[in-house]
Amino acid sequence: MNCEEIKHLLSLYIDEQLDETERLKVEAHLESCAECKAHYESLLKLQQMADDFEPGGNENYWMKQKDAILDKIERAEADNVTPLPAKKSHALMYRVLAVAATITLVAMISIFELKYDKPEKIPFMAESEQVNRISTGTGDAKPKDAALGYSTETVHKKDEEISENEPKQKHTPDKTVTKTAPKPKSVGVDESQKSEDVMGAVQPEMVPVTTVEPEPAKGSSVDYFETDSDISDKKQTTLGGAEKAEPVKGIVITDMGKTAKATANEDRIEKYVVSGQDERTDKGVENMFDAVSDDTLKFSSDEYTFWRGKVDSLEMEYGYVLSIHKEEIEGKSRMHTFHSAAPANTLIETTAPVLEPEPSPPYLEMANAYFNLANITRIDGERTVMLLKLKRLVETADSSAVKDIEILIDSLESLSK
Amino acid sequence: MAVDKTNRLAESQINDLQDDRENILSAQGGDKEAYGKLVLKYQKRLFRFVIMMLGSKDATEDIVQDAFVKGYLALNSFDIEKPFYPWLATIARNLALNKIKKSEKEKPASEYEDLIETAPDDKADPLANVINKENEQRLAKALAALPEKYRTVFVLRTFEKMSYEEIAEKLNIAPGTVDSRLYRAREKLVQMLKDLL
Repeated sequence: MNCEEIKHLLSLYIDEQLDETERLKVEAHLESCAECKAHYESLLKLQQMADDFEPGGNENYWMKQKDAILDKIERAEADNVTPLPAKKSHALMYRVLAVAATITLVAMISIFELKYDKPEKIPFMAESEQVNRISTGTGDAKPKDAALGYSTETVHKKDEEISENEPKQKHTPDKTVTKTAPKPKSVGVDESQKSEDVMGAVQPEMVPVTTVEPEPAKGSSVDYFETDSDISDKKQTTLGGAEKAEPVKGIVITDMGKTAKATANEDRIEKYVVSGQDERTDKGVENMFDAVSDDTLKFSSDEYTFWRGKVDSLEMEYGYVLSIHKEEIEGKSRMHTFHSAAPANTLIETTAPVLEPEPSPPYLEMANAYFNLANITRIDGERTVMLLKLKRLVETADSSAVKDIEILIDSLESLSK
Repeated sequence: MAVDKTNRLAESQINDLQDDRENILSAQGGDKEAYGKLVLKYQKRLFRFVIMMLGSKDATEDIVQDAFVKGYLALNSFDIEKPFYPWLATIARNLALNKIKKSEKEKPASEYEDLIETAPDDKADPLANVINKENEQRLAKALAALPEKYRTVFVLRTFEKMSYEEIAEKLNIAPGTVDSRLYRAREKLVQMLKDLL
């Protein structure tokens, strides 16, 4: 273990949260590393300082405080203040939000897996063919503190257990990654490019992924991911015939008749609307929730390595943690999802699960597909993403494919210059 | 010996709970003096909790008072089988969080930084009346300068001695997030208070 990892463990060590093995590792490291030992002692002093903290003030002060409280109570009663209602249960709301969050996550995963990775493994996309256009907005948002959108828990279900109301997600946790597109340009793609199958050998049967000029979002730079119907009428955004006057901002995802839509301000995605058809009433339903939470997790690569070993899967990119899947309870995997309210101008893609490696993919074909996409796109950010994907492929690919992939990278880099 | 000590502790806790229960039942019947006993018993602890979240004595006094008032007005909904303080602390925490959200809208973020820089030499600091030691004032203000999410987790763990699981449940976050927030809170606090540590 290196010092960074140890520093991370020290907090748990102080709280006696480590198992025996980790505890011994920490103690051994502290014996041999003066810097970490000093840091540990600082943490202990901090703890001691907190433990010693005792509000002072003389008895008179506290008696006055008590009297002030009782006076306030008298006044409140005199004013006939309605007592607080019993605590309302927000369980239902949270459940709705949890489902909404899951749908959004699954839809995002599916769309971008369709776009970039292994769409043949997402049967519902082939059935619905609802998502067939992707357009990217303008702007140059930087990866600011990406507040994590929300935190929820969802019990994984096996495929056969998933109801028809839910997207048919793979059982294995997918990895959703958000990338900030550096200096993307909004550029329309001509018809010949639109009809070209950019994924080539990877997904020949796929609906082509195309880029179109989006309606400019006022004061905002966001990505658009739209359905055909959304593109044909950008203001007709949702269900039950409801028409909304404001233009679609952010992300719109369609999955089996459900629409998840996120609106963004200049900094980050701030609201999600998940819509669908209630099959019992045949009415459109829409659940809206804020994606703004107080969570921001940004990990260094060491932290990532450390935490990756502790959870089932950890999704992050550019340092921002997007979700953590953890725990096995009574045979069911409980998924804690921290869906990032990512910087507004982002590209989202998926990669394979962290701890459940996929069968060896056709690396060279994937590399060619990325290369082709990078060549035809006029969006700088997308080109950058493809380049990154190629570089990542080099790290994982069979040795036989590495050389060819490196040639593609060199070509792409020289073209970019 | 140790067993005796444990038994005595358990006995005193049971008596404690029983006292609270009697005072709560009386207060539910309108006996404000009984409620006053609960105020005297818990106000210091609640004060410490809130001041660690807010870093301002005046705001803390208000929140502590309001929490007790709200607690009294909602006393009929209180489950007598449960301990009183955690319930009261939840009310105080919600009030404190509202206060933080409100003041973040009103104040520039730099105000907290100014507070920290001036604190050690500021003899007129209102915190000085209630927090005697300079170190404690520094700690309170360093905590106030932390992002709320880190501060809350740190305060719940360090001052309220809640377990990771309890914190996760209370804040509706994953236990792993509790880990990472605590880690960050401590790292930042060590950095801010390094001259004292």
